Amino acid sequence: MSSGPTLLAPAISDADFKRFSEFFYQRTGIHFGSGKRYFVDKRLQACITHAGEASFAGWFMAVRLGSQPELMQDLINEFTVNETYFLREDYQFDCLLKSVLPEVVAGRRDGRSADPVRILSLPCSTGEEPYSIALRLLEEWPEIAVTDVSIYAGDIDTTVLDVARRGRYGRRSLQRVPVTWLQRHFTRDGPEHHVVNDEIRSAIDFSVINVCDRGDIGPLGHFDVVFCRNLLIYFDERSSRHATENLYDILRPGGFLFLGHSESMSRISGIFTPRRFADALVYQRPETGDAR
Amino acid sequence: MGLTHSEPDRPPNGPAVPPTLDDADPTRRREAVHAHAPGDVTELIPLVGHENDPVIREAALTEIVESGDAGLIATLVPYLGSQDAGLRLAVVDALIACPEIAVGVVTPVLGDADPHMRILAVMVLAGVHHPDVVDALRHLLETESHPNVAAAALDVFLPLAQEADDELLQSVSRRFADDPFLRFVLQPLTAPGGGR
Repeated sequence: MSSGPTLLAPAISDADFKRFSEFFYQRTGIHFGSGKRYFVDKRLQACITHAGEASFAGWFMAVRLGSQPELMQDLINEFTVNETYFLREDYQFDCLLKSVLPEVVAGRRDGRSADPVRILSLPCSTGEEPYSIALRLLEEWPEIAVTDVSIYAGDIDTTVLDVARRGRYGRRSLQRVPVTWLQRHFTRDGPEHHVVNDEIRSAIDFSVINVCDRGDIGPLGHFDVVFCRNLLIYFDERSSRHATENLYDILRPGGFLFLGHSESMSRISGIFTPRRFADALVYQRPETGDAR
Repeated sequence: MGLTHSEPDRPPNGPAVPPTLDDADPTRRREAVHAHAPGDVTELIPLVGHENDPVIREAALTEIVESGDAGLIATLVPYLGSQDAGLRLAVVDALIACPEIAVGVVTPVLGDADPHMRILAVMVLAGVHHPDVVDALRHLLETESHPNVAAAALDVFLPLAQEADDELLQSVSRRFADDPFLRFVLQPLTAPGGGR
């Protein structure tokens, strides 16, 4: 049997490693010391080969130029563990309960509106975020006893929406959920899984939503709070502008927008007002006209 | 009370009178901006210059960018010279959102007599992630005489520079030998034994 030519992994010199480490730290805040050479080299070589480049230099130039955003995305995916789980970035839910919802409810009473408080989770992925919001409200927000709250959840990916609607999760996803909450709001399903109880599952509206599509956004109506975490970072500038306009449209005047902790709305648009609460920075649609 | 379902709060039918760009109500003006798209967005160009509400200005800029019309987008460039800093930055962001067009319409601004315009052009080029940016900045640095413009250009150019650019960087260093900041920036590259 003959074997084809052996593909040699591209060499990573000490200088390459240093340049890459500095670059990756600037972009992500993740630092790799020289003790991580084996971990870094292996993944770097995979990225270079996958991009069809023969050398670190050519690949690194393409990544730094940013002309092929997928190269940077491959890099991030290769070096990070992408998973979502219940109560992720929980400090934002603290902010929702302690600061944002009291303001929303107070505004409702001033305006004598009996409408439910409307919350949107977009993208909701496999459902952990909207279920986490529901759990925090039911367990830790006494006002839920006298306030109607509607939770909507959307994603562009129908596969993850199916998972979300089923509401069945493994141990890893549920590791942050207190045992008492598991007992009250989930049903055990085999040795490793739990299913969200029907009372919560049926209360959340899951639907296909593309944040860039006005046709998807328009029929949803207005929301008091939108969670749109770690989505805009994957968009180019043009799509970001479009998505930002749509997010503005679906918020009620005075409504609140939660972004991922590494995302900055000011980079994209000056149309929201940043609000710094004790637990988190949130973006608010101005009550009227001028955002600044 | 508790978790519940709710109906969308939008009225099923829009108002009978179509919104206009000069409506007193900013919400209606913003609706008018979006109503112009995706058709003729030419009317939105002057609106960008005189609209004081940044929310409406952003909506207009988004629709202009979305049109993909290079000729129309080029008419945004003079706003880089506006006295309104908010407008200048909004236009920079809008141009960055259409890299292919922005490189073509902004590169000539690197030759503008006003150094502020040249700095804003560099700001746009810094954001577009386009391969032609390297050559445009290389060309600018060959002749640039204003230290602030050179500093802005070097900030973008240095991480992308090649060994072949050492001679250019030496010449920039000599040209601004009296500028402490540029000396500080360039010294590690131009000192004996330095370089990439």
